[in-house]
Amino acid sequence: MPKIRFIGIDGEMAEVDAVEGASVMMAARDAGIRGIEAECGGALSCGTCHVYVAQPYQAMLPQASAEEQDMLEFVAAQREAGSRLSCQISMTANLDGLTVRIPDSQS
Amino acid sequence: MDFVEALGARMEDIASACTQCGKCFQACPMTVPTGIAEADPKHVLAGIVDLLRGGNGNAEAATWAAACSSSGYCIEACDYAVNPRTMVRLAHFASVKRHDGDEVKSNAMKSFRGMAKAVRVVSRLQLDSAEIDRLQPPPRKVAPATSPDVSFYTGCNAHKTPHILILCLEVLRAIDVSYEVIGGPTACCGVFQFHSGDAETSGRAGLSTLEQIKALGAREDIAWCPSCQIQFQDVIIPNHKMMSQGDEFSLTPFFLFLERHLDRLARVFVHPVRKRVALNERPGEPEVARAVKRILAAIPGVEFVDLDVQRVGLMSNYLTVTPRFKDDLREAEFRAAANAGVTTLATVYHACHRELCHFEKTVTFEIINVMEIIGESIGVSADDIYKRLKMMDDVESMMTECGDLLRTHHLDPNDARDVLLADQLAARPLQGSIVEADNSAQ
Repeated sequence: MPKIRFIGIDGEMAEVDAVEGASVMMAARDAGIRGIEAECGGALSCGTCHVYVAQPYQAMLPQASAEEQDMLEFVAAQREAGSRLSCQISMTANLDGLTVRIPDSQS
Repeated sequence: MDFVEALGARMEDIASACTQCGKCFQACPMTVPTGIAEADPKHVLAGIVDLLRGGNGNAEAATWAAACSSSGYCIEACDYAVNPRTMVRLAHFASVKRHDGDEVKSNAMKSFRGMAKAVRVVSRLQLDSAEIDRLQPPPRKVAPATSPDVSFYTGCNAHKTPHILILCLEVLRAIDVSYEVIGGPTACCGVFQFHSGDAETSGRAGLSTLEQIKALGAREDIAWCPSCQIQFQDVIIPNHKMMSQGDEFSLTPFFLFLERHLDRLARVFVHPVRKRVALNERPGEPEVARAVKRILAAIPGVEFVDLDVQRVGLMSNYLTVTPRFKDDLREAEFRAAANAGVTTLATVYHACHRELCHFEKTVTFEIINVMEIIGESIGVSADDIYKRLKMMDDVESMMTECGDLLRTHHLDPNDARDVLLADQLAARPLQGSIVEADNSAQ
């Protein structure tokens, strides 16, 4: 199983196993990671599962869709180069070790 | 064809079908409180059709569309098989979209987030984690091993009054109907985004929920919330059908499902309920009101009293745009209920229950939800924690009462306090700003 590292608001890191094909948001939710609200459950209508993807993983992800880009316009925390919605990142084996930082606010 | 294109095509179809005769306008109960009753109906309908086609419409049409309470009297009034309620709702969508322009996506997101946060906080201040997981299960990754008899789609805001939903599940269990629950903000019908003029996000939310419901593979899909029901009927299902070249999908209102199984229900109505009951009836889904009355009639001991008062709105919160009119309607209903000597005023829908339950301390009868009466006859009950909290009328008392759950769910006390103040101690308009005429107080 590929692993995801979540770096929380307090700087603490949590490593969780992810199911291939499932989203980073679902892995966070299943593991009880705090700070990823995901109010809409992945329907791309809330922007509350915002994460900052660390290097070198940013370049390994497919480009954000136009819909994801739209939603990223309205995230609560500052948008940065690695900003993505975790519901739109589908886990694959080659993303093993994916590291994402959780912003200080989602809504 | 995408969702926005499908919606546009439907708006044009409806605009073409409307003859602009104005009978729907004349049947509408909202024209008096909004001060447009004297407007020429044909002029108003011309404005509605213009809005549907992307035009400015006219002031009366915009007011009428903004004030629509989804009462549905217009549907019967139409001689041309146009659904004027759908038409007016679509015209309002078009009006908001035109007026708010680039702000619609931001407004839609704020509206959805506000609702989701309120549901998350208010439901968690009443229930432990196990009960939250039962009523608001996360979207399933795989279909259930065996097909349930029904999927029970709760909608979002019903989770603020969870005792109603708990009783629904108890009743399904009592009549041996297997179910899968789908609901909470992760299964949004898209109505909040739609009211904000954002078709794209509304469609994404609603279609995602439709697929979640279908994936459960239930023999029948039933819905609790009338707002979701109408949003699906008016917008999501017809657009889905156009986009999928005819794929059929339907939602059955919960009470119609119960009525269809009245024989099974009657067998479990074993406890007499000695109550003289009037119904807080809503005209928006007349078949639901009829079904509820038939179900109540089957409960031993219940004496039903029909109140002769004006009925308006799909739910109480649809009248928040005309607050004085809403107050007048409520006071007239309370007076009639007291004069009729009822023991019980039974709300049908969750939003009506939220807005009325705390008045219990000012009237001579109890105010409960109809599911509590059905449950009592079966022998099941669920504590109405929402009412208990709301009757405190004081946010600090509510916070103290919910202290343990606040900590259990790691809720921010300041967030919780703000939500309680906004949600329980103030009413939030669903449609938008107040559109009541200054001289409409009766």
